[in-house]
Amino acid sequence: MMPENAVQSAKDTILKVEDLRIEFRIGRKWYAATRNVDFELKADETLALVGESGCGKSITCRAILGLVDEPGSRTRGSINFKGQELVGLPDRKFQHIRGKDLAMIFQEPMTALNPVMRVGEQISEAITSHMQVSGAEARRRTLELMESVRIPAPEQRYRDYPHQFSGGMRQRVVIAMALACQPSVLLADEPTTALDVTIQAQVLSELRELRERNQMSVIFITHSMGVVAAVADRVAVMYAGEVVEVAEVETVFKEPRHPYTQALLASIPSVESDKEDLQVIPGQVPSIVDFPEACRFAERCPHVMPRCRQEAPPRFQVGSTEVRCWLYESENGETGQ
Amino acid sequence: MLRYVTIKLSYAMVTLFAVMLLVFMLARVIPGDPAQLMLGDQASQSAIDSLRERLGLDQPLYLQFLDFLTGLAQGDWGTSLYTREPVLNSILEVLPYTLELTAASLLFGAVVGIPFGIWAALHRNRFIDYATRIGSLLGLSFPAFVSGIMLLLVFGIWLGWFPVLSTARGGSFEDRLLSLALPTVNLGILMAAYIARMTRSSMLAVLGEDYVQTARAKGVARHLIIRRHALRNAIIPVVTVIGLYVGILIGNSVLTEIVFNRPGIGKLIVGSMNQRDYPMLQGLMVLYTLLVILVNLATDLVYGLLDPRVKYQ
Ligand SMILES: Nc1ncnc2c1ncn2[C@@H]1O[C@H](COP(=O)(O)OP(=O)(O)OP(=O)(O)O)[C@@H](O)[C@H]1O
Ligand SMILES: [Mg+2]
Repeated sequence: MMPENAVQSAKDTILKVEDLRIEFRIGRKWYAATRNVDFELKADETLALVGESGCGKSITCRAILGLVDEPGSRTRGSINFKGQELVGLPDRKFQHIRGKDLAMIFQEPMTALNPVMRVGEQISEAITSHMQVSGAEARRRTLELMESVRIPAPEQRYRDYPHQFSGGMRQRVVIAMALACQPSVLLADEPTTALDVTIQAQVLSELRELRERNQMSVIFITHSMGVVAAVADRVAVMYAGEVVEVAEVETVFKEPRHPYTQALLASIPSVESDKEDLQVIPGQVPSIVDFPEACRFAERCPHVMPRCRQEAPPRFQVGSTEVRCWLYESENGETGQ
Repeated sequence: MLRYVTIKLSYAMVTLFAVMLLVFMLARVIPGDPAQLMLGDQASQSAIDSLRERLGLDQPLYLQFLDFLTGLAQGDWGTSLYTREPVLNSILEVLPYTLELTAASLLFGAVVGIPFGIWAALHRNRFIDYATRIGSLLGLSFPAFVSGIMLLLVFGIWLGWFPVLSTARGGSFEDRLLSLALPTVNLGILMAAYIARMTRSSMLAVLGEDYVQTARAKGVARHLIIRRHALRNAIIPVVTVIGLYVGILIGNSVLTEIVFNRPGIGKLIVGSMNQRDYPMLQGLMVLYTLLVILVNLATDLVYGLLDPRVKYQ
């Protein structure tokens, strides 16, 4: 039955981002750093958000948490979290969602912690901000959290300051803070990029384990297709502030649709291929002040058509993939602007 | 922490030694006879000769320097040419007035400057921010004697709340406090202006830091973000700057002392310059050095308490 299905799928989708547009004022004009950002996050899944540096992954996450609110910025479109509209939600109300049901891990573990506050206090602050618990109880839970993210000797490290921790350990502290209130959605902004390779693999596998144990949905930001293959169920590919393709992870690797996704995959180094085989995408990402009105990838696209320079492509459904590219116009109906 | 204190203390000792050497050399590189210089033009030849002997000018320089240091340590800072009193006595007599004025205006500056700086930073480019910025610019550019006279005119003469003629010497505790009020405000305005500017810019920088965003992402309440995360970090550079300005404050207090007719180090310096009272000037230089070094030491220690990172470097 139709209504039943509708209810079912509404339940499944925990976070729905529609036509998210984040704008910054530079001089007297407003420029859109992102537009046409559409994706859904379903319960218990990991969605990878991939794209080159500067394509707007971090600000998209910050906007979901309501943190893009500095003067000279504005957010348009819709972010629906468990039936609640987050765009335009006053900061006072947002404060009770952040860190409780919707948590974030930041890109830079070296600067994400307050240098003059004890690490244990910073973690327990995440608990006491949302729960009425005694100091002793907050401390007990903090130690538990530190243990669960594998910080050795939590009793002693509780009183340490961030500068006494290595990068990997700091990132574990940040993860512990994010998990403090058992959020249903975790936004992980390149949680391993700043770490060295061995620590990266460790933290990655621990995150996976924690996700399964806590039954969270995760948005995992990365610019590495290798990491995507390791962690994601579905993938949203971003280019120059737009989501250009959303698909299941197997589909993306087997049948990438958007020319940018294809180029991104061709540029991954693999064990078999020689260095010479590596393809670099020609051209550069345009900067936010000269994003074209039409397709933003047109200038670098090998399949570019005249239409691409005139009109921005809508979303087309190709199999289970959603893609913003005129190449797929004939295939199927569009699914929306 | 102990290691940090030891290091800072030894730095202070080295600085002290270097400046003393400089003060000592100064009297010897000025052309002319140091004894003549110290005794003034009208001194008799016999007085000069006896001073030469007492100063040990015939001895090697390093011995002279050693004597100079021992003299200072034993409280023999020379004799004023003008009053014929021991230099140390004259200095110690006015020092408390300078110290109480400095401490009071520092307190005033912090109590007024820090909240305004925070307030302005939190309302960047809004009315209160502009008001604070203009106010602190005025505070910095207003000459101390003008603001002093205005304060006296309004609060001393028109309103009659505070004494116009200082009763600072002697008097009851309340009298002293009352006569301290206007000079404190006069000097404190300058301090408040510095501190407000510094707090504002430091606060703005800190509010843009990643850890403030992390705290917001945790759902920490706004007032706690400001107090626990922003302010605790923003105050660190402010403390350093306050420490630097204390020295300047002591040097600048002379105009305030004159306008409000208070005794103090500033007046003593100007007086001894006019009278070419070299032994007194030398003593004041030693005192000033000691004060600045002490303040720097105190600043370093406060810094060490505020910032856990410094102890381990
Ligand atoms: N306050 C701001 N004012 C103007 N432009 C901004 C502002 N903040 C971000 N941008 C722009 O938004 C774009 C997206 O930035 P974002 O940090 O989201 O990129 P990213 O995809 O996370 O990149 P990276 O992989 O390097 O982390 C960048 O081009 C950046 O210049
Ligand atoms: Mg980023």
